Amino acid sequence: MCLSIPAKILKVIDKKAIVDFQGKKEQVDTQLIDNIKVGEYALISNGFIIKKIDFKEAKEILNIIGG
Amino acid sequence: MSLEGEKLAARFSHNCWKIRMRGHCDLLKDFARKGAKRDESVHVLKALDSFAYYKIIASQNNISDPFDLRVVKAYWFGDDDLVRKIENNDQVFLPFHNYTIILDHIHHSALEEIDRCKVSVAKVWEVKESCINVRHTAINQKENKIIFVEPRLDSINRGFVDDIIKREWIAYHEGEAIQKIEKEEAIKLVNRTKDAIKLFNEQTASKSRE
Repeated sequence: MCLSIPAKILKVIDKKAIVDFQGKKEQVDTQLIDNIKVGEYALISNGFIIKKIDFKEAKEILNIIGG
Repeated sequence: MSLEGEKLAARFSHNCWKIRMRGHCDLLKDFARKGAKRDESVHVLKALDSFAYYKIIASQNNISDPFDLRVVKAYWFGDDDLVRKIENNDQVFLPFHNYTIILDHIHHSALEEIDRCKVSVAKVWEVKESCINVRHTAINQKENKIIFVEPRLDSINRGFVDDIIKREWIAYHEGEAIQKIEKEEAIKLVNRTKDAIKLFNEQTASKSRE
């Protein structure tokens, strides 16, 4: 436990981003993290990006939660 | 850098899934107990999700060290001054462990797992050689709402608590005792958890109306 869910950044607009979140497109808030770029992976907590992660870590978490 | 904050972070995180998968449980346990292999342990702690929350709390309060003991305590136990809500149109972010675990795991984890992952407090019912019996207050789900259920007798590992007697209070996480705690602090944590559950239930209700 104690793990947040990864998402892939699809689009960045101002302080918002569109992400692929477990197969669904969702809008998230980017105000807590600087320099988010399209194609990167990040951890999401209740609609807020809390941390950038690399692809390997994203895949590892998604395997654990069955995403 | 705050050694005490790092050690508290290690107590809480030494048995989380990432640490278990990567085989770092003993490293963090030894660090939490004796301060051994500090650099290596801090490197591991920085890779955890909890570090992202420490950074957010530190940044919100102009505290330079995310491992400052006040920051680490604020994330795991909550803090009425240091932990502040961030809101956008329809969502609320609160860097408090018992809030984030419910929100982030409710759709893909068993409720029992979420309950074990929350920071719990209880009065000690019985102390045995290898475990401590407590009256544990679990969470449950009823009609889309998270609720506290009636306390039941449960057994937890002694973890980091060596000297404890009946009727003292402890905080525990993932079935392991983390530290003794004053009754007043325990009540505050319970109330903060109730507030977090209320916030979660309000958000769930609001989303279901959309």
